[in-house]
Amino acid sequence: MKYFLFECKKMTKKRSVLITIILSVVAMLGYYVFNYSVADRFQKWRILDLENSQIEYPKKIAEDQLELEEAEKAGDSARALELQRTIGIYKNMLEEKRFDWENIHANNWAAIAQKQYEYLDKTVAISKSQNSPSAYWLDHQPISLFTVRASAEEHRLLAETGVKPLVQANTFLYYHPTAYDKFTGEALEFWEESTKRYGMQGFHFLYQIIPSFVIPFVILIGCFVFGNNISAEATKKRKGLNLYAVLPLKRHSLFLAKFCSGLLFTILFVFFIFCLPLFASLVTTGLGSLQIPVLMYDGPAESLLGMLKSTILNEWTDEFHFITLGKYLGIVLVLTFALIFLMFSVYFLLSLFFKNPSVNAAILLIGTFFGMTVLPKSPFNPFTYVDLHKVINGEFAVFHFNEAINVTNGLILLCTVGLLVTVLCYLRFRRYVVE
Amino acid sequence: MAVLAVQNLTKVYKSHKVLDNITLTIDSPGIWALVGPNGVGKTTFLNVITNILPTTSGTVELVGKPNKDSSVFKEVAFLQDNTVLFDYLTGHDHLKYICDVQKIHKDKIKEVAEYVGMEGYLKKTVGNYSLGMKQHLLLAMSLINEPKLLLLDEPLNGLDPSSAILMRGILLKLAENGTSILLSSHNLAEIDRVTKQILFLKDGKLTVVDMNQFEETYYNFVLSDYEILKRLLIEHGYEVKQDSLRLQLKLESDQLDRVIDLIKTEGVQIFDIQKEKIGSEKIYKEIFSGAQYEKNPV
Repeated sequence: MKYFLFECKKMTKKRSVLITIILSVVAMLGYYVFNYSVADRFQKWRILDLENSQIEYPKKIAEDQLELEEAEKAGDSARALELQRTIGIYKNMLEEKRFDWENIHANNWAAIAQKQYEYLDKTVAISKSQNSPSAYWLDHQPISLFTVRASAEEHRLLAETGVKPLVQANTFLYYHPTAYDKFTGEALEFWEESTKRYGMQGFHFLYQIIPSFVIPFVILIGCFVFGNNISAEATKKRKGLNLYAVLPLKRHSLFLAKFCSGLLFTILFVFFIFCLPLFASLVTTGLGSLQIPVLMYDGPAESLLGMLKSTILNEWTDEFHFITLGKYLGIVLVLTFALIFLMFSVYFLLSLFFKNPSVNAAILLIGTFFGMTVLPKSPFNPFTYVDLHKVINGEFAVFHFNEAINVTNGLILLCTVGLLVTVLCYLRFRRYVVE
Repeated sequence: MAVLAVQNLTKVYKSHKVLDNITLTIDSPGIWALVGPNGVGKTTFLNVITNILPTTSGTVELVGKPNKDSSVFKEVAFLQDNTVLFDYLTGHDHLKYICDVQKIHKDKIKEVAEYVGMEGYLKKTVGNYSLGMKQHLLLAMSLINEPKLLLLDEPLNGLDPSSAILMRGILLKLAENGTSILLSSHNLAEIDRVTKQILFLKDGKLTVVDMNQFEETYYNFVLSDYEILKRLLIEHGYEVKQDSLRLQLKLESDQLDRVIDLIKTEGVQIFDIQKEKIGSEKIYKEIFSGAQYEKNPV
């Protein structure tokens, strides 16, 4: 234990560690603040739009009303009909905008979600009755019915819980984007921009950034800083490892002290960095609700005869469910532990071969990228589990028709491979010599 | 039981035989100096002895146990160069860690720091130490477990005269109290002051030389007149060298009185006499320039 504490003490006294932590803190807080400002802008635009509509729409209706009276006096029935329709549309829009405006001011998110749910549910019903994929098309490309169904269910859950949803760029297209959407070209660009969600509150921000590989990236920085505690002491200018060699110290004790201290500091670093948005949110809009629904893909439904699941995706019948953000973050936490263990052990092994931390980080980064993109998505490919979000929400399992790609198998595989690599690290360390 | 027993030790590094079938036994307290030019393999020899580097062949035993057994370092210490120190830690941190590993009480830190004269900067970070201060810390780290065998790699590097005197005093006292010391050094004058047992390392071979056989004493005279006296001393069979400032004579101690009498009888005034012992330096020159000498390979 004393050896371990000594290694921990060394970590805390290194200037490079302090500099990296400060830079990472600045980067993460900067990211949060920038994201917050973008979300805040969208939110203000929406409020401004709603407020303007309360002034502009009645004015427009009054003008059209005068014009309508004049058209009726002049006997211009065609113009009168057109104006009546316009007045009707504006009155509906004014009513809807007033509804949103009043409920946003009253913080009554349940009412807004309920209204959106009813609209989406009706869309689903219409689509099914007309046997058409969707009531809404973008550039001649339909929104997947799965997306409409999932969005309806999401809004139903939001209406039930009454929690404030994440900020969305386009409040008219209040869909939950799903992997079933196959937009291309400008439609894809518009869809992505419109449905992008921004988390202003702490937990919501974490939910927003998890799919963007921020976690593996922060782990990589952690490994870069804390995973060189052997190689950094075995260079021509620094031979600290030779000090241990002439002390009555068992090699495995030294290895464990160095490996565990590096691993512990990487874990602490990663969790500290991801706690920063939570701390920052305490002075902005708060932590946010953990009741936000998170979509889970269940894939093709089982046939009535209980036979094997279909291997063809069907947006009309494929199943899904939602879990709470709290549960989702809990799973992310556990999987992140396992991922840190694997990435750290691989980095540690690399550092026993290459003394340059930048080379090790580059190899790990390239290797991970290669493993994620080139190697097939398989339950036995540890790199599959680097994309935590798609493993947890079942997207990989559904879209690769392999239910074995799941959190439990991910945990088992990451820990097993991590353990094997750790044993390799020890074997390499035993033969490690500072020349 | 030998404190250090090296048997047929060979170390090959990148196809170059750095150590060639060396056998060496140290079984009594005392000081041994390992001497050789840069790059000859002195540090490699010490690193192999302490198992920092693996042997190619041969065996090494420290205090009766194989050097691969880390428990030998309860009774053996190795003062390495200052690259083993952690710049971001204090001297106290280093010593405390060694106390923890060696299971020594923390009070020993203060004691050993005072002993080597580093109590004033014990709590400063090593990155702010001078070369001499680092050497003091390394010495303190080596002495804290009161070793039976102390190996030192260039211990006099970077030491000012007072520190060198202190280091010399400590080494002599340790040897007197039963410690066997093997030190490598370039400082032949300092070696002459601490030991007569020299191990010359050349071409991978170790040659042990007892300097008592080779030590020569010279007396440097500063006189009022050199010419008459120089001729006279040569006539009397003395070996004389002269430069503009002094006359140098190689003498046995019983001859000094006679020479002084001779100078006095010639009426020449003596302003100063300095005694100079030449040992390892001369042998060193002979060995490493290829001249012949009587050697005892081990």
